[in-house]
Amino acid sequence: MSILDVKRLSVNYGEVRAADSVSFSLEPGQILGLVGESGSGKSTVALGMLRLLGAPAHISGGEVNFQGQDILRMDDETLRALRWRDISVVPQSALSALNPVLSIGEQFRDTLAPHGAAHLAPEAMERVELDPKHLDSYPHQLSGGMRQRVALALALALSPKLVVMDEPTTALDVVVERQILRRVMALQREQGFAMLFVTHDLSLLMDFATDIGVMYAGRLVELGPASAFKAGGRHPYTQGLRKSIPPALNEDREPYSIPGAPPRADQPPSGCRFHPRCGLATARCASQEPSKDHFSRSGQESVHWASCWELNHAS
Amino acid sequence: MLLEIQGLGVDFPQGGVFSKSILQALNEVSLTVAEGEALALVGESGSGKSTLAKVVAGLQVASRGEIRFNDAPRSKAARDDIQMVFQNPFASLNPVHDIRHHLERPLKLYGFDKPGALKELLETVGLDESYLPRFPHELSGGQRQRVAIARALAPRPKLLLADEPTSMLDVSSRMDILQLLDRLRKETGVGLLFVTHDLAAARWLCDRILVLYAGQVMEMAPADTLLRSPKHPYTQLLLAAATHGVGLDTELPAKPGRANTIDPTPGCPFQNRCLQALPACSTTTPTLLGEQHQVACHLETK
Repeated sequence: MSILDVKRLSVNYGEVRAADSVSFSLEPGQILGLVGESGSGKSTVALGMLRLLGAPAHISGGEVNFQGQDILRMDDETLRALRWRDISVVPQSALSALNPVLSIGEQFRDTLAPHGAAHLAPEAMERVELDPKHLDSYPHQLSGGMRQRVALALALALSPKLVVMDEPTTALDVVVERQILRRVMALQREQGFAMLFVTHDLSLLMDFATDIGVMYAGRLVELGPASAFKAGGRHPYTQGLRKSIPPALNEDREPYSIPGAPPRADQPPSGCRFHPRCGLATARCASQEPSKDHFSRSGQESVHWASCWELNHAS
Repeated sequence: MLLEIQGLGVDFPQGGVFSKSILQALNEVSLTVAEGEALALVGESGSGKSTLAKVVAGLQVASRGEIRFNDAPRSKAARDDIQMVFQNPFASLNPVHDIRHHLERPLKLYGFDKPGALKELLETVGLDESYLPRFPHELSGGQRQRVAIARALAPRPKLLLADEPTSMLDVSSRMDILQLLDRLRKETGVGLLFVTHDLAAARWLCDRILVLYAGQVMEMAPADTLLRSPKHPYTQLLLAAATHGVGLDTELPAKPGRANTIDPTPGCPFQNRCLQALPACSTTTPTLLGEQHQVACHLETK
């Protein structure tokens, strides 16, 4: 059974719909990478589904079933008990997520004591290769990489079943990023939690994600196993993203960028939202929203799909 | 030579008034940039790459060393010939002014405001006059960075300093800006000092790559040579960390740790992380040796 089942989730900022009818599910142990450019709605989905976005953001539709319960309709008390214990979040910038006037130890106490687990702090620090002596440090005394490790330690302290990572390494240097991701994946193998990993870096996801979802202008446009994306992906936007990665160090090919720019969230194009930038677009793409094209299924479940009229046409 | 730097050092004082402690941001940095050449400065945060760009731009005073521009000591006037493009086009453009204001002002200040100059400037960066009445918030990140580049080009500089100009942009527009910079240096002969942590971008855009670590030059070579046969263990580490598609199972070739830049003692700044460190590495600072491919590492002379 899926641990998380997101159905037709829509999130608005006031009148502007930032995420539009997004559906996906997560199995225990699965690592789903959600990739997209800024403004694509990827963080909105990840944080919105956990009710972590404040006004003017509001959920405008859908369900988020976690272990059979709808998070969106849960009372605050039940949700509070789930947070940190069953579901945790690692934010993009640990500097702004940690309280500058509290020591690391106090922040662990704040997080863990309500769950009766304050004693787990030193162990949680060791798990991310931080010396527990830093529990006495303040955030400004730590490097960016160490702060990000603290955020990770907090998120994993209670062995949650689902960890949402919102660009956790974007602000870090490549070497530190690599070190932290290696540790995250080792812990994931040990503890077996499911992970939703939000990033703008598709090449990074290829190194560890089991599945990848691509978002464009508020919509999920392709979802499938990572292997399908290594092969290039199906949706024209996915293929454009793949080609836009600067040629790898041992690769000789011409650089590429997708023509045009992403649309403004308050003025999404009609039909397929990618059609103004797509080389394959036809009149139908501009008028009708494409249906999902399923490339492979396991039983009733679709394993890989993309929403594009031209793919439908080709198959 | 367009730009020539010899033995550049920058120290920042640390602690109180009576403290003699210093943070060594740059030490013994020497480099050249020829007309139309693109040199990449690659390194992690704290490696001194942005400080170096600021010194060249005249925004930061050097503690030691010499900077020559057009075969003469860099004068105040030479600063007009050196322009900078910043990392964040969301912060470097003024939100209350339209694009016309951003581009007209430098043209007027430097006396290049001939009829048609504005149009020509926009065309150079792949924009047209329809952008003039728009405000920065109406543009995408890539378009904003084009405006920032146009503004830097208005005084017709001979050297462009680009400080991570693509790191805030989305992948789909990143290559766009790199291609624009490449075209500019080929067409106008402007020299380019490209500060980045992205090795793939550096290789694509630049003739040569200089690797900085803890304010010192570790290695400098033609871009392809450096990435195909890196000699310095630090360059090898950077490369291993930036290689995708191989999974996360391979161990990184370095010990964790940081370089000490506060009151540094002689020795290689990378020695506490290096897997191949020799006894000499912790006592003697290695000198940068070589012709085309320069490396500062005791392993090379062992």
